[in-house]
Amino acid sequence: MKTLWTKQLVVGLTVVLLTLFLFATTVYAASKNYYGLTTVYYNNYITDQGGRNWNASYSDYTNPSRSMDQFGLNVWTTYCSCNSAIQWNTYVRYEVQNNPWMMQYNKTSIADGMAKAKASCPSGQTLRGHNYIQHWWQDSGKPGDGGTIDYAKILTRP
Amino acid sequence: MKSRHVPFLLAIGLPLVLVGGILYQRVSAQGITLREVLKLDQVSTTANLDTGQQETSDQVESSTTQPEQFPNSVFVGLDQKKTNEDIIAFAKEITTKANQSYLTPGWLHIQSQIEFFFTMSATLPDGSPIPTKSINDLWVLLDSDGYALKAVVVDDTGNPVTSQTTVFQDGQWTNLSIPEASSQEKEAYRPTFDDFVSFAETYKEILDLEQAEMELNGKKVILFTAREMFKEPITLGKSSTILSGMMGKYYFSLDTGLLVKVEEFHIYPSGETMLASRITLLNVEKIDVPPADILAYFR
Repeated sequence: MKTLWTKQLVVGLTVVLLTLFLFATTVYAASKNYYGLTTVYYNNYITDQGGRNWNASYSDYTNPSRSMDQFGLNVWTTYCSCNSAIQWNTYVRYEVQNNPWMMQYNKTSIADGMAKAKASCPSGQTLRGHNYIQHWWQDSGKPGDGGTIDYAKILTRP
Repeated sequence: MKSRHVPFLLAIGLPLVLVGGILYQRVSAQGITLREVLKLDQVSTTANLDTGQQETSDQVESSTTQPEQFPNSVFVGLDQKKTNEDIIAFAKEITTKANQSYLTPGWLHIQSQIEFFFTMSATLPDGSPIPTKSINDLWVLLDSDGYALKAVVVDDTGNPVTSQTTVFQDGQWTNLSIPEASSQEKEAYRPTFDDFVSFAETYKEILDLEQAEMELNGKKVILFTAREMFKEPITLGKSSTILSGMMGKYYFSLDTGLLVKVEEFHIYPSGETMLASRITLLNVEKIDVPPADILAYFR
């Protein structure tokens, strides 16, 4: 009886671990412990939205939940590339110095997204969407911290 | 009998409840739906910048008649879908000619001119103007199955700051000019001339396709027009540019099956269209060996 329990427990945990692994591969994520106060999880997403547009987005959250004095982005760059050459017409870079909307206050989690048009590539070249984000957080008078995710994904090209 | 399954159910159930709780806590705090977190639905194209919360579309949520994979697209009717299938079949015939002529083992050189009439930014972070024109050269060595063994792209804007060279070797693209743009994963790179066919097939439910025969620079071409309308207008990035849809015009040579010109148009809420970019094919050739300066990029 005990052996059967152990076997089922192992099989069950394996199923769960496999499920969690499959789930985890659908987002590009990272995390950082912040002075033992909380762990900040930060994610980048690139979504192929249809024939001619795609979406670059991110979400950050604290666990255990903690309200951060400052929680946001320092830099957000998105663009398309053809065979890894940047298509300059799609290039956009936002920095918090000129874009105060990038930094939020007294938040436990944040998220934002932007729609982008796909670039046309010359014949036979591979189209990618790029989403480069520098995340930033600070709380309780402690020095701030952050992380960077530079993510790219092949898109169905128009 | 039932008690034998208790540990199995506990092993699956408890971690899932735990993970579900964490996810619920996260999404409820943000005011976004679990569908968005799991990427089952479109991420909102606009955001409330004051709160950092994303808006969702009630229309998208309540729609039950359209496939989930294109939640913000206007779908074409059955008649148009049939027309699309006929047009795609014809496009396949045309592009097969180009694939058979040029996608043979050995070196292939494709030269194109790229022009932008709309850019997301006016300048780069260092103040340099965003280039609006470049000459793009692809040199690629194909194996007997049409896969690239090695390749080089030189995108020359006339300005060393914005010109780029990328190299494909050992299954990976490296951007020598801007390393951050290099690909992060290996790929099997197989260039083809039927990108339009793949595109039209993938999106035939939402594309309004048309075809017409005409002359371009004194040569007969087939023009395929592909129009896509969004169910809800999208805002490009954080700019003030709002699009109701986009349209592409693809000009194929009747003689060679090559795509000789592509024009991309924005469609604005007023119904007005504007040319956003144009790619013109300048030259396609099979060659024995590329120039020495191209070969020098390979280790």
